[in-house]
Amino acid sequence: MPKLATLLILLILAAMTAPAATESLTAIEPRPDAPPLTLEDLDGHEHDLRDYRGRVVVVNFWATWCPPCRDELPSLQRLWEGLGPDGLVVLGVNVGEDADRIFFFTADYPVDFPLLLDRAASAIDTWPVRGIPTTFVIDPEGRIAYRAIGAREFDHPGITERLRELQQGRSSEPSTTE
Amino acid sequence: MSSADRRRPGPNGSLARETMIRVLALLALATPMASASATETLQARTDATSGLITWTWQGDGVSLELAQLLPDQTRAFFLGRGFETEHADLIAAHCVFQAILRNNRPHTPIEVNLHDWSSQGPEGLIRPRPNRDWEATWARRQAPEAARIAFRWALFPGEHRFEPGDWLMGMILFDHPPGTPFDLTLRWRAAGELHEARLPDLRCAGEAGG
Repeated sequence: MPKLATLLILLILAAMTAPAATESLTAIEPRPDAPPLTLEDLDGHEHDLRDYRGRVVVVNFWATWCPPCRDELPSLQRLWEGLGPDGLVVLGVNVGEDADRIFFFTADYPVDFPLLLDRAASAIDTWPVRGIPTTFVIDPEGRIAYRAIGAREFDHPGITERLRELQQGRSSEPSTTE
Repeated sequence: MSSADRRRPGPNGSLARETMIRVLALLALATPMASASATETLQARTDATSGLITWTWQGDGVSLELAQLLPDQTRAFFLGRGFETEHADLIAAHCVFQAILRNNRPHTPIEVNLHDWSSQGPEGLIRPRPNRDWEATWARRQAPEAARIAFRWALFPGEHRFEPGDWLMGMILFDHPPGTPFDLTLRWRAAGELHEARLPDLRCAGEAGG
């Protein structure tokens, strides 16, 4: 009885003081089909999301002037370096800026994954985005599996584990991951 | 067991009372934490170099940071995004804050609609100006497309649902002149309930800061 009461109170305290889910992804259920995404990268190569069917794709909407976008770019690069060899795709969709500005920006924020140009913001308008950065994780069937609004540390184990599960087709599909 | 036995504090009664005392003691310890977590806090921090103030409000699993932006900072930012000087001046003539709103609740989404927020200043009750109000202005003034896109995405979204762990940074513009003092009432919905908090004694940055 005393142990049970103590445990109960500790559980209540833990619930009251639970840390924010700062490195979390929101699971989207049921998973909707991802909107179309066909854009050129900085080298003029066209990328069509449909071409990546069968692989997990991280789609990140960003801009150079957006501080949290800049903050999370290095972690997206580390994510790509870590899981890219296993097939993960990372696409950075820049909103409204030209290739020159992004090219100079990448001198300070070097990334190797494709940076796509959505100059007229026509692609972002077809996605469920209200603010940037917003990031979507697309499952191998081309559906939105997870979403993150605001910057994240994308190489945080709580996130990479979810992506690995999705790659291996064993997503546990929780409401929120931490 | 006789009635006398029931009244007599035997070994079992002693254990029950001891347990109850432990539970009450732990609850007494827990109570101040519960009330502290439910308490709202508003802190103001002044940057030693710029003199600009950042207010940080926390309460009910939500936090809001409001950082003053100098008219010069606002002007420079939008000139850098492709606006012409007259357009950048128009924006900089407003009261501009860089806002960061976070949903720190572990399980509950919150819904924020800036139209529900209000600021009470010398000119009366004023709501933040959302992007849709500005779009007509930019169309009329034929602002460049790249600038309009940057403006739209630099502003804090007018309506948004924040899942646990979600947060966004964006500019919030009020129709107050620089330097205006005001009280802000912010509202959001969580689990179907409308929540409200009042942030008194805020101030738009003046031309020279603070």
